Amino acid sequence: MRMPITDQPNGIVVEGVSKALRGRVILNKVSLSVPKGSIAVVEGDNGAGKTTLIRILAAVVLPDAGTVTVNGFDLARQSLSVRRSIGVSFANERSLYWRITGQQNLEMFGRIAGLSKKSLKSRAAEICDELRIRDVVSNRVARMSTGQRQRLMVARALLSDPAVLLLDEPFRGLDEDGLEALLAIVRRRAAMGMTILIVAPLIGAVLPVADAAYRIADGALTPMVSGSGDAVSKGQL
Amino acid sequence: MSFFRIVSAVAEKDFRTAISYRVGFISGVVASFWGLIAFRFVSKLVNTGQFANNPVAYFRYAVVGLLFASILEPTAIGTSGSVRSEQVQGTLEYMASQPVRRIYLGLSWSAFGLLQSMVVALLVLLLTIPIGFRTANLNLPVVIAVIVLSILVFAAVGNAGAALVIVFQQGSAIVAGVLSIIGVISGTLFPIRELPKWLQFFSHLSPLTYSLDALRSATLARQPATSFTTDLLVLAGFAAVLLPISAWLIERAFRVAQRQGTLSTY
Repeated sequence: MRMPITDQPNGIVVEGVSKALRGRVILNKVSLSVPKGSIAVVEGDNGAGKTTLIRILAAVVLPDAGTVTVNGFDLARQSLSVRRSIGVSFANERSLYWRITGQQNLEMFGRIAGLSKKSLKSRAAEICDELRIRDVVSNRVARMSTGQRQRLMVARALLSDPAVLLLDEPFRGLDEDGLEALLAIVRRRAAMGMTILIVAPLIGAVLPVADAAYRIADGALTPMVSGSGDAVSKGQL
Repeated sequence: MSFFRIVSAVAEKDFRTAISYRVGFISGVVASFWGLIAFRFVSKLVNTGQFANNPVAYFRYAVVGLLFASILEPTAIGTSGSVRSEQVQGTLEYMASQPVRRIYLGLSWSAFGLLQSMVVALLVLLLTIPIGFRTANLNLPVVIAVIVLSILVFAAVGNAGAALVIVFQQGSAIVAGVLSIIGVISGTLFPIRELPKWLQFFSHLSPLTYSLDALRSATLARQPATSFTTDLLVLAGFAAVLLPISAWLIERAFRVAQRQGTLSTY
C-alpha cells in the first residue's frame, strides 16, 4: 500500500543527526535536505557512514541525536508511516531469500507491502521489464549473478511505488546494460515525483542524473565542490 | 487483515523454501513415528497407577503428550530459530524496514512451521492407530480450543525467545532449555502426581499442564464438557497476559537493536 506523497516540499530532511556505533562516531551532526522529486547522491569511502545514513532513513537504525523527516513523517514518532513511505535497497544482496526465485521474492515483499496479487504481478512485470531482468526473474536468487540480484533488489524497493527511494551502492556488479537501465528508471521515477537518495563509494556514473551531490567523510556531510554532469550544471552543488 | 496478509506471505515463502529441500517433510514424519514406536515397547514395562494392567494405555498417554508437544515446538522454539536464521541469512534487517508491526513479523516466523508440524502430527497419529492408539470419546471442539489457546500461549513464549535473539543474537538454546523443563514438569510423558510435591507446585504454573490435562480428557477419557472449563479458562488467562507482554518485548527488542545498530549483526 503506497503512502500518499505528503505536501511537504522535502522528501527527506535530516537535521543534526549523530550516530556512534561501538564507541566510534559514524555520523556527526549531519544535515541533509532532499526536495521532493529530486535525486541526491552521497559519495564516501568505505566506512564513511553512507550505509548508516541509509539505515537511519530506512528506520532500522536509530540516531543518537537529531531529527529525521521522511515524506513529512517524523522518524522518531511515526516509524511505521516512514516505513510505508520508503523503498530501500541495501548494499547487502543477502537481504534476498536465495532459496526461492526472484519472482517469489517480489511476490512476498509485495504482499507484505499490501499489494493485491493481481496488481503485484503487473507491477513486478513492468518494473522487471524496465530493469531488464524479466527473463531471469523466474530463476532462484542463488543462481543469479551479482548484477541481476542488484537489479532485483531495486525492483523490490520500487514495488510499492514509494514516495522515497533509498539506494545503497546500487551499481555494484552492474554491467553497462544494467547501469543504463538503473539510471533510466531512477530518472523516470524522479520525474514522477519520487524522492531518491543514492549512496555509493564512487558516484561518477550517477552524476549525470543527480540534482545534488554530497561527500561524506569523518562523519560529516558536505556538498561537493567539484564534479560533473547535471548536478553541477544545475548549480545545486 | 494485514496480520493474515503478512503471516500468509511469510508462510508461503517458508513453504517454498522447505520444498526446495525435498526430503525434509518425509523425514520429519518418519522420525516422529519412529520415536513413538519406541514408546509402544516402553509401555509394556509400565504397569502402575492409571496404567496398571493396561499397557497400551501408557502408549496412548505418551502419543498425546509427544504429538502435542511436537505441534507446539515450532511455535515456541521455531520462532527464535527463524529469527536467528533471518539474522544469519541477512534478511532480518530488510524485514525490519518493511511497513508492518513487528509483532506480526514475530508471529509470522512460526506460521509455516506450525502448519507443517500439525500435518506431520496428524499423519503420525494415523500411523499409530494400527499399533494401538485409540480415542475413547473424542471431544473435537475442546481439542480445537485447547490447540488454539495453547498455540497463542506458546507463540508468546516464542516471541519472547525471538526478542532475546534480536538483542543478543542468542536465545534459542535458552528457550529450548526452558521448554524441556516445562515438558518434564507438565506431564508430557508421565502424570505430574509422580513428581515430588515441590515440583508439582511448579507444574501448576506451567500452561502445558492445563493443555495436556484438557487434551487427554478430551481424547482418552470420557469426561463431561464442563470438566474442561477450568483448564480452558486458565489457558485463556495465560494467553491474555503473555501475548501483550511478548508483543511489547519484541517491539522493545527491535528498538534496542536499532539503537545498537545490530539488526544486521550475527
